[in-house]
Amino acid sequence: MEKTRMISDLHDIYERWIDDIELDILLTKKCNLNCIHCFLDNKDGEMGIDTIRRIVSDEFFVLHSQNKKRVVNLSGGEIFMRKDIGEIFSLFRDLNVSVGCVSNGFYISDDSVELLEENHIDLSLSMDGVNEIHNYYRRNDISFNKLEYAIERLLKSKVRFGVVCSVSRINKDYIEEIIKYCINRKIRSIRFQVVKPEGNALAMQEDNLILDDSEKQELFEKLLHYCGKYVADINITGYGTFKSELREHGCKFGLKWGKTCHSNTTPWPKSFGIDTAGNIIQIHPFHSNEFWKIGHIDEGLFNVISRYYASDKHIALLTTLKETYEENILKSPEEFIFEDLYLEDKVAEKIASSCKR
Amino acid sequence: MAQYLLNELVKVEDNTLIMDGIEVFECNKDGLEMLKVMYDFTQQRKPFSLNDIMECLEIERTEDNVFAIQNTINYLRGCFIINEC
Repeated sequence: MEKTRMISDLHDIYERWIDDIELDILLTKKCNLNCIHCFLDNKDGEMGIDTIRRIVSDEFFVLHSQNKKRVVNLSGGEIFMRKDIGEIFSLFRDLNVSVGCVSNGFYISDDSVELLEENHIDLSLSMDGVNEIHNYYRRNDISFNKLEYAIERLLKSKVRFGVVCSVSRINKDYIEEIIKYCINRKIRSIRFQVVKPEGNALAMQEDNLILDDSEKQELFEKLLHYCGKYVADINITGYGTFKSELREHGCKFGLKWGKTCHSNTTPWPKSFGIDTAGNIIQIHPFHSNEFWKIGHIDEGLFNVISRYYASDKHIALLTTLKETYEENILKSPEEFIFEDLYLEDKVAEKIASSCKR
Repeated sequence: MAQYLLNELVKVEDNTLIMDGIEVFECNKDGLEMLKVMYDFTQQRKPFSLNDIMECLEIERTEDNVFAIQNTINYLRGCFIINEC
């Protein structure tokens, strides 16, 4: 009965859901660096240009992305290692969507800046510390110098750019230093994420460098504090906004949506990934477990996403989310704030273990 | 231009912004002045815009000032401290 009601509620909100979906496209696994925290453990594989053409000509973009609201993120590896990156950018230019990309900054030059400007692409630069810490993460002694050059060059351009910082035990005590560095350089946005034990970062876990639960909680508290303290200088994003929102609005984590949510939000997943082989994956393109795969680009992006909506697999995701919430949070409301932040990880673990069985 | 009102549950005690009894964040001097402006508008039930705030604070419309106010508005909106009308 509950499932039937859920399916009916999902159908009510389908149009808005499809309008809000974001896409994360893994253009390449190739990279000039081999960072200690990289989520990839193998650097082979590049999305074919024909696959990219298929994506941009799909009904999903041609008929359902006319409002510039849709966000597309182009990621890697290092996307500027692709010789055809200009052609790829231009394929996305006419789609009337907001396109962003991620880079380590090594290949930022007059030419690449021009490509970003011409095609209105936003850029996130990976920066995990100031000087030695950044170089240690990158296993490369000149990477911070390269990053500084990239920042200087971008500041002279019209490109909208910000910084993304991956936090582990190596840099957790230097968060404010990183924020201040960005403010001094007039960088307007910084996003923090925690290093997860996957890909190269599995070795970090063996070396005891991944944040434990209490350190994640401490980081969350710090970021809340810095968000307010530096609000006039920089846009800091991380886990969420503030405590009462987390307590009251489960919608942020996919627990409430549609009529049950205070602002009628749309249900999870809010985004899909496409990996270099063209597999379409719930949430982002880095989940390797079969559960997360929902189809292939050859079947048509719009077809796959629409077919997935309110399917058994989608219901399983939403139900697991709810169960995980009940198991982890309702049992110990004191821990609510902390547990909620990592709900996606817990759902992934739960789904992965059920798939193994 | 978008207009906003402060949430009725917001209070500022010393330099800490409190909403519905929960401490949200500590404000610096500039932040407090901005909140006071928002509070005054809200008391008069008059929605305010980015321009209204700049005018009341008597600050120039530079790129840095526009960013500072807009980023604060965006942040406060994300926290449900102000609501768009």
